[in-house]
This record gives sequence, structure tokens and C-alpha cells, in this order.
Amino acid sequence: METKKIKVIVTKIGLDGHDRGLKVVATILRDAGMEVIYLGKFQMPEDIVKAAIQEDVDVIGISCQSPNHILLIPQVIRLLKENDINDIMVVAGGIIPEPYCSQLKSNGVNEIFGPNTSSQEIVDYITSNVRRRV
Amino acid sequence: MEKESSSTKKCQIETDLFHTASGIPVKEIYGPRDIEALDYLGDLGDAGEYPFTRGKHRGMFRNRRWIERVEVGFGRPTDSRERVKYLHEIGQSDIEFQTDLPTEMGIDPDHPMAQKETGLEGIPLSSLADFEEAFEGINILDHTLSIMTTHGSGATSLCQMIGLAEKRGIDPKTLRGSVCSSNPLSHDPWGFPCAQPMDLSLKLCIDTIEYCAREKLGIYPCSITGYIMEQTGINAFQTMAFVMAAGIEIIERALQRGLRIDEFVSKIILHLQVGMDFFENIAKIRALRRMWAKMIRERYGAKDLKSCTPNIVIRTAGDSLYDRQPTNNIIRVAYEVLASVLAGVQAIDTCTFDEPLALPAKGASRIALNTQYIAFYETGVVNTADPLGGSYYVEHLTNKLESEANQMLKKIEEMGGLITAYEKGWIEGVLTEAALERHKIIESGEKTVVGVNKFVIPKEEEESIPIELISPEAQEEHVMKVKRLKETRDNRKVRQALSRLFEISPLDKKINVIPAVLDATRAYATIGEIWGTMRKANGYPYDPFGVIQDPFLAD
Repeated sequence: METKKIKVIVTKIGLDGHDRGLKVVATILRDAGMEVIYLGKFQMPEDIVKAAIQEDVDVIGISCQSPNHILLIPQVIRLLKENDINDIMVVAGGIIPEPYCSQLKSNGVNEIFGPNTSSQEIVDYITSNVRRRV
Repeated sequence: MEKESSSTKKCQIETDLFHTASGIPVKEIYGPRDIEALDYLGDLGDAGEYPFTRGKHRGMFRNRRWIERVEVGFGRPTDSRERVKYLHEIGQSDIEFQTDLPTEMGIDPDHPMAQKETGLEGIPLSSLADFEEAFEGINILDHTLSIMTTHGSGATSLCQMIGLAEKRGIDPKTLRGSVCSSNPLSHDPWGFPCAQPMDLSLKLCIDTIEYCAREKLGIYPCSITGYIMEQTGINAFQTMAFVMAAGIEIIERALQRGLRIDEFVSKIILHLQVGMDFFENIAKIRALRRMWAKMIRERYGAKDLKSCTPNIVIRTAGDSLYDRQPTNNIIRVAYEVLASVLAGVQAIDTCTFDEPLALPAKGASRIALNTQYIAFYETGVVNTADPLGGSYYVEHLTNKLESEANQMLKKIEEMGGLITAYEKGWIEGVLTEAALERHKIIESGEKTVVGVNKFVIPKEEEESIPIELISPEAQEEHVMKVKRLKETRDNRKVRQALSRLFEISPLDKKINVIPAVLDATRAYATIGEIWGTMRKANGYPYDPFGVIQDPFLAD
């Protein structure tokens, strides 16, 4: 039985450079058997969505330690919608205060992983909720 | 041995604790044999005496308090200024502004990539106008002014400081303060790149050092930021080695300018982190003070003793704080402050306990400051210099860290120095390994973190703390303000100043650009315009992100 690997883009958004967590998450997902594309720093919503379409990914994982998340992540969601894409899961992680978490979730972000989420929780969430395309 | 590990519980605690954070094994007890070779005058000396292991000044905190501060930077310049005024009301003597990301990158608030980032996690200081607004109503001679930034804005922040003094009729020589982290070696190798190129940034940093030395300014133009290195997860002796290696790169370049070591080196600040491993952090600072002193005197031949002992500035460790039961962070910061005081540092910048959750709230900033006052006024630890000096354990650990750091420094130097080690990708390897290791030991429970992986309470019982949210309106207002400035200033003057800067900027001309950057700053040229001009003069695209064009000088 062959299953296609889950394909994930992990990325920073905007100008925030703190990527220690993102690198750790990239390794965790890779170790869990996913195909991980590390987009890196200084990515704007347009860059992220473009890469996601080109690479035909299942998941976009965005890391931010700056409050820019509340302004930039909704733009990612909007761009996905504008491109008629509704089967890519969007998850975020980093320092995101609670009020913004609810706001982002109602905006269309599937899940937000705070600072103490375990590796297993992230892997489990993605594997059980990914909207696989046929 | 058998007897001690009779209960499983105890056994678990043992594996947890009996080595330092950097993995140095710790024995049951230390005695005279562990420091047999220690020579008091050669290795320690009294505080204020070479090699300064025991402290920079005679009597240390008996004679002067460390500079206590809490970082400020959010919203418009006026928002940050109001917070600083509040901190002054409750006793802070310093002003420490953390610049926002666009400023750190060297781009303007109205840049398409900056508009949604302006004022989010720092203060925007894109022009002298922002600087004037940030300090309005504040007597700049009453306080030390610290701008925490990157090489993206080190030179412009320095020029804005001078520009502000001039506008107020103050001799810039009388200003006290620092422009911290203004060299690329404090950022790029550690995964926090500013958007500006390494060669230009490094040259600009040396320009600021040379300018401050030749003009005899009191401002400290450069700090080597071990703090940023340590936030990647590397350990104490790795940090020490990297700080020394960065120091060598900078000192060598300043000497090549024809400066004498005694003219500039005391103006280089070492900025470090003090984290939770109490004794190792104390030993780290003491050992680094000794290593630095020996290098400056023995390798670089400094004659002035003052040159041999840098100002060591501490920030408590942001990455030692957790979002679970966040008030526990107050206790963590207090231990880190105590360690910093016992290590004898010159300035302490306390993290606020809400840092893992949001930007510092007003109340949290007050607690962060009070943590320092309590250490100073209530604990009695300031009554004598280096109270831990002579402790068998602390001296042993100081020696051990020094020797580990020296070994690593030797390796870096054999590779060709810090910049080569970075360009070869060697540093990246060290960092990735450290980050994964840190994650592993916390997740596996090998390292106990109270309230996080032990003594955990259900999420619904977690206390809720006040969180300050950002204001998109303030952000938009500031972006508009910068656009207006660009329309209303005397653009003829700006154009003239930038043309001059363009002419002298090519690296092969070897001209110190600070006087020209200062002229541009006086004319209200912005950081993005100043960088763009210097970039273009050296064959780089005007805009590091390739989005905007040069409004002044046609391509």
C-alpha cells in the first residue's frame, strides 16, 4: 500500500527573522515522513501562495513571533480564496496572543500551535485533518 | 552512590541537574584542589584591576548602580515615548528603544513590505523627524540613550542622536548612550539577517567606530551581541568563543583604519544574555571579562587599562520564559537578575513576564524594573564586589568555560575567522544542532520546566494576563506621516546630501561616510533613502526587496 507523502510548505512571513522554532518544526515534520519545503524568511503573502500553488502542497505552515500575523496571515487566506483554493490547510505557530488566535481561526486558519505544543500534537493534527486531494 | 540513589525520584532529579546547561559535568563538592593553579593577581585581581575577572570597577555597585532598563518600542514614536516617560516616573534612568523591523532592515515605513510591520515590535526611527518625536519633552542629558537595533540602522540612529542634540543646541560630545548591535556579525550569522549586505554593513559599522573615536563622542557606537547568538540555543562557551571571534573581526578592521587600540576599543560593548543556569552564567561573564582583557592587552597591546575591560550589558533570557503559568516568569527573571548582579555587569535589561505571550504591557514593564530595584535595595548583594570570587566551584567553572571557549575560538580562527566560518556554513551547522538539542531535552522532560513539563495545571486553570494589542490605526497614521514628510521637507537639500553620499560611498574609495550620512539625516533623508543610495553606489539594487525605485537619482 503506497500513500502519497503529505507536502508542507513551512515559512516565515513578513520581516520577522526568528526562525529557530520554524527549523525545529521543519525537522519534526520531515522526521514524521512529510515532504517539507522550507521557504525561509522575508516571504510576503503573495510569495507564499504562489509557492504553495506551484509546489501543489497540502499544508502551509506559517511561523511568526511578530504581531504582523494578524495583518499578514489573513492576506494569505484571502489570496487562496481568490485563487479558488480550498483544499490547502493553513496552520500557524509562534507567539500569537489568544484574541488574535480566535480572530485568525474565524478568518480561516485551521489551527494555531502555541509555544508549548508538542511535536506529536502538530504531526497528529496535520495527518488527521489534511484535506488530501485525489 | 548506592545509598544516595535509593529512591527512583531522587535518581530522576540527579540526571536532571548534575551538569551545567552547556553539558559540563558538576561534581558533588569542590575544594582547593579544583583551583590549585589559580593565581590571584594573574587570574583574578581585585575588581577594577587587570584582568578584571572580579569586575570592571573598584567597589562595583557600592559606588555606582548598574544601568537598569526595560526595552520599549511599539506603535508610533509618540506611543513609545509615553511609555518611556512612565518608566522614568517609576525610576528608570535609561532610555532604551528597540527599533521596529523595517528600521532594522533599513527600509522606510511606507515601503510596501514595511507598511504592515511598522511599529509592531519596536519603534520606527526612519528619520530625524521620528527621532525628534520619540524624544519630545525628554531632556536627553538626563538619561543614557540606548537604541537597540541592527546594522540596518546603527549608523542612522547614531546620526539621528547627533542631529537631535544639534537641533537642541547641545554639544553631541556631552551625550551618553549607545547604539547597540549595530554590526552585521551580531545578526547575519545567527539567522537574523538584516536586509542589507554584509560588506557595506561591516564597513559602515567601522565608520561609526572611527567617527565616534575621532570626534571623541561619548556614545558607544558598537556592541557585539552575544545575546542574539544565545537566543539560537547555543551554549555558554560557544557564545564566548563567537563573541571573541566577532570582536577580533571588528578590532582588526578598526586597526586597519589607522586607529590605535586605546582610541576605540573601550567603546565596544559586549551584550550578553543571562539565563537560568545560575552559576554557569556568572562564570561565563567572569571568564569573558578575563579573556577579553587578556586579548586586548596581550594580543593588541593596549596600554590604557580602561581599554581592557568592556561594558558588559545583560538582557535576561527571553527564551527561558514560557507561556504556561506566565507569572512564574517573574521568578525566572529575578534569578537571572541576581546572577547578573553577582557577575558584576554594567547594565541589565529585564524581560517582561508576558514576553512569551505578547509585547510588554505597562504593568509587566513595571514589574520587570522593580525586579532590579529589589535586587539592588533589598537583598544586600551589592555590598561588596564579586561576592562569589574565590568560590571553589565558581572559579573552577570560570576556568573551565574559558578553556572550552578558547579551544573553540582557536578552531574558528584556524578556519579563517568568524566571517569565513559563517560563509562556509559551519556556524549554521552549530546552530541547527543546538536548536534541535534544546527542543529535544525539553520535550523529553530531560530538562524540567516548572509548569511546562512538570507541575502542569489544566489549561482552563491558567491565569489570564492583560495583553496589549496592536493598533492598525496608529500604524497607518505613522506611514502617512512619513509620506507627508517626504513631500514637505526641502527635497533640494535631501537630493544634494544624497548625491554627495552617492559619490563617496563606493567601498573602494575608502571614505568614512558618517559625515555624509549625518548631513543627509539633518536634511530629513530617511533610512531607506540613505541605504538605497549607499547600495546603488556599490552596485546593489536600490531596494533590498526589489520593489521600489530610487526617487532621487535615476538608474
